[in-house]
Amino acid sequence: MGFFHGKPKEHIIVVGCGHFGFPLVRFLLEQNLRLTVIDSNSDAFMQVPVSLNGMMITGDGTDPDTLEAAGIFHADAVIAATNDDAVNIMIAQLAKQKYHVNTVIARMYDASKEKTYRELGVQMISPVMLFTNACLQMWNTVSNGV
Amino acid sequence: MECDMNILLVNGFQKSYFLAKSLCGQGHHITLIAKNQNLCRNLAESVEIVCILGDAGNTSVLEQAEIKKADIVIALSDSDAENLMICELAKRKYHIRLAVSIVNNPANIEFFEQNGIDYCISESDLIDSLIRKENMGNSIRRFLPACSDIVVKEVTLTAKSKILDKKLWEIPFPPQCTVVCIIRNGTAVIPQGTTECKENDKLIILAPSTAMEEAAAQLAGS
Repeated sequence: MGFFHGKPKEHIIVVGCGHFGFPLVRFLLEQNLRLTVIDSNSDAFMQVPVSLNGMMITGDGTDPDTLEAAGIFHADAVIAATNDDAVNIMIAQLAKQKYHVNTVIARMYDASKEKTYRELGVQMISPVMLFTNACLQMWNTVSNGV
Repeated sequence: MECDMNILLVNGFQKSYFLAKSLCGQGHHITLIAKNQNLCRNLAESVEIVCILGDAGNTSVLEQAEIKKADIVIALSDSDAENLMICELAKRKYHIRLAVSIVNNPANIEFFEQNGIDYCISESDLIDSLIRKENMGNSIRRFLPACSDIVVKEVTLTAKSKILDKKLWEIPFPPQCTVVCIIRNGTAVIPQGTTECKENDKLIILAPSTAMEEAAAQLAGS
């Protein structure tokens, strides 16, 4: 992913700081990126180490006010990483269509909607599909090796 | 008149219950997708509708509800994201003619409309505009002495109104009646004799209470 290694201090907004979002947030913070994290539950930020600098905002990621408070007008990338497909899609669409953010990535559980949304220019990553593909690949390697 | 439409309702606990009942009474074919088992059971027992227990965000559930046959899809959930996704799937993937959605956050109405949702209904926005309207008359009324017999009324001009495209001075108002403000496309216009009346204009009239009915009838042109 290009923006990880791009010019320093790119501004990234991550929505969702739960089981999935938190490791991502920690990784991005360690890369010395300018990061703003949004989660509807303020407790979610408790696990983020104080030593890492990031802006935390408690709020609804589908609310334009929250996104604007997070500085979406000048964001280089938005990653929607909540545990709700619908929320991720809406955030991605808002980021793409309303705020014209360059890189927008949404996490999707259910891959059946993928085609509909790919047409809208939203990039989607399905952890389930990634895992499935990795499993298949491993299995293929093992069975070929035998 | 269109009747016997296939209508798909999605989520929205109480709203879908009452809506399903009333639409069913009008002879439409209703299918409901809900996450709540009790709601499904109650509705299926009391009215003749198809209830499907499941997550409407899942395309296989939508297909099970025969979304392709639907004329109208109505999303009633408390989650804007869910409503948007369902309406978008309905419009883009299944090419449903009409998608109606509840929009809980009024700030999102425009975004929903841009994404092709045909009717966006926001409860808080409706109440908000009601209060604004109420306030417009009230704020004028505040300047009137309490004992005066003058009332303030707001009249919206419909296509039926006979005064469309007429200048204010051409309208035969009862004596002492006057139009104090015209709300046009959300902005207030201070009227003059030469101001023309347009459809959907909201005219705020000041008149003695005895003449108000006549003045309002004159504007409505019924």
